[in-house]
Amino acid sequence: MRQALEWIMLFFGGVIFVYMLIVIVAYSLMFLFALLELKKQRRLDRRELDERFVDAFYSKPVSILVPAYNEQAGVVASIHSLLNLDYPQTELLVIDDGSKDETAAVVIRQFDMEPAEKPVMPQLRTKPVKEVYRSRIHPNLWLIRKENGGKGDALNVGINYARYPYFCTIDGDSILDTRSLLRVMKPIMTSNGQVVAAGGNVRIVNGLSVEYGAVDDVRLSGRALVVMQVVEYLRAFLMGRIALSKFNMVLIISGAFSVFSKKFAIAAGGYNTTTIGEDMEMVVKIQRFLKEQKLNNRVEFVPDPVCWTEAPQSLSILRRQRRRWHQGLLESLWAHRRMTFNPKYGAVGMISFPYFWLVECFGPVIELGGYLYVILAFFLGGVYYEYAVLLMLLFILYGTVFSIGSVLLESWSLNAFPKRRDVLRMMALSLTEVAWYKPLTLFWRIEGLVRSMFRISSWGEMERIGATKGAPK
Amino acid sequence: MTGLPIGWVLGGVVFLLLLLAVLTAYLFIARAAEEKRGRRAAAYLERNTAAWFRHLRGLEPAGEELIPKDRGEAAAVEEVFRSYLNNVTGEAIRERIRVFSNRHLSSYYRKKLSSRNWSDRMNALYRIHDFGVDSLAEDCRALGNREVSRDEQFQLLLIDLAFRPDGFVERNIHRNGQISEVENKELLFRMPEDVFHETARRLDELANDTKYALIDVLGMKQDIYWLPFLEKQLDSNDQELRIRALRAIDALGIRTPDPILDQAVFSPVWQERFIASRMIRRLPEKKALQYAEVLAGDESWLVREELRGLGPALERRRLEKEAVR
Amino acid sequence: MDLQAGSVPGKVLGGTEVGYVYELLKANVVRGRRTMSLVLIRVDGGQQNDRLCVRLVQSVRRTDVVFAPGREGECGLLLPQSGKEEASAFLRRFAGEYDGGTAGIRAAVLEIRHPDLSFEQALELGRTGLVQTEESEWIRFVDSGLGRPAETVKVSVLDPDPLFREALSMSIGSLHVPSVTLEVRTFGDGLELLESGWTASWHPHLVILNDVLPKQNGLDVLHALRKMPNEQKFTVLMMTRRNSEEDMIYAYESGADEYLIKPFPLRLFEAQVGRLLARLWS
Repeated sequence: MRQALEWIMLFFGGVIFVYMLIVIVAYSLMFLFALLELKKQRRLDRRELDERFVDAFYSKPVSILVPAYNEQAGVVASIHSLLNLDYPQTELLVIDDGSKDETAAVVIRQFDMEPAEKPVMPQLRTKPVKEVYRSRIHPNLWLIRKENGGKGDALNVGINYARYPYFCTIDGDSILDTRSLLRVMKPIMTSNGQVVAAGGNVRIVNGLSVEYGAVDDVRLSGRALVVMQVVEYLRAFLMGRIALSKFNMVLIISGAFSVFSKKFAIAAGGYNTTTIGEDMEMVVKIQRFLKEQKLNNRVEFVPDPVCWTEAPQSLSILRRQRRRWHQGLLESLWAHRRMTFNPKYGAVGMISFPYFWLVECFGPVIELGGYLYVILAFFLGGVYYEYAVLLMLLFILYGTVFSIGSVLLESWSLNAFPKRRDVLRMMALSLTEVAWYKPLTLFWRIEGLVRSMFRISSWGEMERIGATKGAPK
Repeated sequence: MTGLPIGWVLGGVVFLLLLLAVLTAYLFIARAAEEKRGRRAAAYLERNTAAWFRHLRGLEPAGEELIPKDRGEAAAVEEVFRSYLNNVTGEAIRERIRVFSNRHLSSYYRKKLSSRNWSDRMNALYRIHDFGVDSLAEDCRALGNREVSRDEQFQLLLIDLAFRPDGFVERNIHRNGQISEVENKELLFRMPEDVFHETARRLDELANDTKYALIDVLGMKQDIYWLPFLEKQLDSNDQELRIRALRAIDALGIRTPDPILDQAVFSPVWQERFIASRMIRRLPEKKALQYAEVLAGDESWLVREELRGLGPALERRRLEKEAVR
Repeated sequence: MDLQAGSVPGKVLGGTEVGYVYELLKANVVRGRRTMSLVLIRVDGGQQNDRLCVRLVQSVRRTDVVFAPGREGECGLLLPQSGKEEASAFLRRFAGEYDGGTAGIRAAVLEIRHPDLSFEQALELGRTGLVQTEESEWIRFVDSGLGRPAETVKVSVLDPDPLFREALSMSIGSLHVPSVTLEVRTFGDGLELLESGWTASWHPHLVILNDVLPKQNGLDVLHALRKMPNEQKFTVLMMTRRNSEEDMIYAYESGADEYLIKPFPLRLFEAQVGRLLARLWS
């Protein structure tokens, strides 16, 4: 009996330990790439390039798609920020996905809209469109009202109505900096269309003062929960996106702010209207399409264009968000599981997919297991005591050191939070992450995992999808 | 798993945390220095914005007080120049910026050109080009002979074009395959007339990307002078080149000569038919309707959609004509 | 006076009536930032002044006023829409058609722009002018010494670039427009202007704005200004980096008066602003 326990403890300890080592090595490598990349570009005056591309001659026009479902509170500020983009030629399509609140009425009133006709190229099947409006103030601002069909469906409607060869998706509650679109389009422009999708950096807007879609003063939120998410976002960006983008292995670009070539998005079948994480699904589909067609086009992540988005402020909403994210992740991975370890799909199949399966998808199980293991080992005492201490140290190394390192690197290279106090606060909170935030998110993610496995994809109101579908099967 | 002594791991973690603490201290010191520079720059601007206006507007010569004394002030001068160059044109202003930069900023940029940091070199190259610091032309050439990134290479081309347009094509034609289409366009746009003509004459020697860029630029220039040149490209074997030439002809905004239009309307390539469907709007109504009939059953949705807009377009033109009478 | 009503398009006003009409016209002229001329004509050689007046009444426009200043051989004219050049052109034409020819006709022309110039003073100045006329120079221009009253014009400059904002404001500040006091203010975003209360006064207001602005952008501001009750007081000059015909037409349709594509020559800008300001006094 004792023998068996020892054996079990040794086995699970070994699994957790090996996992930790893999993750630490992977993170260190990605951190290193990010460091080198940011060091190179750190002092570059990006405005030079912005000004070069503002000229309509050199640019590619973009249709901006803003799906909105019950966004009456945030949609006007979002539209204001999008109207102020410094970009030569854009059109702005707000797609009201059958909102139950006053979203459409607010937009129509605020921007003095009238019914209008817009040419449509029905390349993707969608729910029926009810009305199309056009602003009398801003001739390139449109509102499309359609029957509720989910975010993916709303985006597909947007693609059908989009007039320009590229489209940019923005969440109805997000805000862009004036130059953001220009910068996210830069790789597409300079590669002359070889880059077919690009995503920008998403930051958290809570705590900043925002007026008419302009961020006035960058300050850190006072809430620990929000600060923790800020750290989490910038860590994800430094320890994943930059390195993956360098080797064309990107699987996720945030739906809150991304640009796609319309041609490729349509070729990949448009947005999936049944999965939860339609934004990840889109990128995976494009990567898959590219590899299957043996094209050498790329999906890129661009570090400096910033999109500001609202983060959940309460535990319950955060929990739902994380659960949903994880479900989306698993569903996308599952749907395209054939790509895993499939040499046909190059680095995406051989590296990205296994990495996402192991670290992003099942990582939480192992990590939470690690937590339990530590607790158990403490109770068992004796030789296990040593294991417990060792694992805990690894947890600290893995959680805290990388978090603080990310905060530092970010602050050194991009300096999003200029105030010293804010930087110190982020670092201080990173020290506590292992104790509370980390286990919480792990738990929620496992919840998502379990739900996904049982196909309980229930769509709450909060999840922006409405009640038309998603009844448990 | 006991192979790793706890002491070591503990030591490692403590070491890393200490390292992070040191880095934090370094970061804050560096940031303090940066903030100080920022304050110097702000103070300089506060003092001298009006004097700069008077100087650049030609009301008075540049006074002693305008000469930057440190990096912060140099950055402030850069801001002033950038602001004027972005928003305001005028030979005289450019010339004053050129003279001042050559005299007081060139040593600053020379130092940056030899920096090991890529961003520093790039920034210097941008400024040398924008402000016309031609006293550094030689240094730039020297940089070009070293191993440099693509971005620098392109910036150096722009500088070469700006400072030494004579013989630019001869010197650089072997490189035209190395830069992207967008960069080509920018280069072509900045070319003085004679350099541009020389490039167009040597079209056959150019790489495909450069050829396409040149044709596109002709469309944007909207100069009827180039019509015969564009017409010649319609006989090319390269389908992409033909499509672009046709698009450029459309962009000229004239009534397309009949033979060109005939060829386009009956082309097997849908892109050419699509451009043709746009071109027929500028024909007399009867003629336009004739062509529209040919294209009405086209297999391409885009062509049909374009034709759908033809009726209203003709109507509008008729109204405009009546208004003239 | 034996004028037959209906045979001539107007009538000759007497002393008290004309004083009242003068004040009325003057008030209009000052408010509309225009110039009115008062002309005093005398024919020597004992000619009847009614005949002169009758001839004048037949020659003038409907809006002009002929009056009898109350002295033998004199006749007065108020030309509410004419400056001195137009007035003297009218006089030459009139003298050419007049039976007696130019011989013996003398005239004084006085421009009226200031509210403080009373009718009596104007008449007095006109008479001094008449005395100074000569054979070769029978039309005499008299300067009242009272120019147009100085008026405040507000200028708002909206651009996201603070250095450029300052440059434009200095450039405008260096303009010399006679009898105009410019009050220039700069704004970094659209909302700042709309919330400043700076737009509320009745002063003529020149707004120079960039199309891309944080918060309320150029089109938002233009729209808001043109919806204000006395929107005619705004003259709007839009600046843009986008060289797009579509945008330009749309801006004009939305009520922009001028459109400048950046980068533009500073001197062209100054000329344009000077012209826009001068146009306030047509």
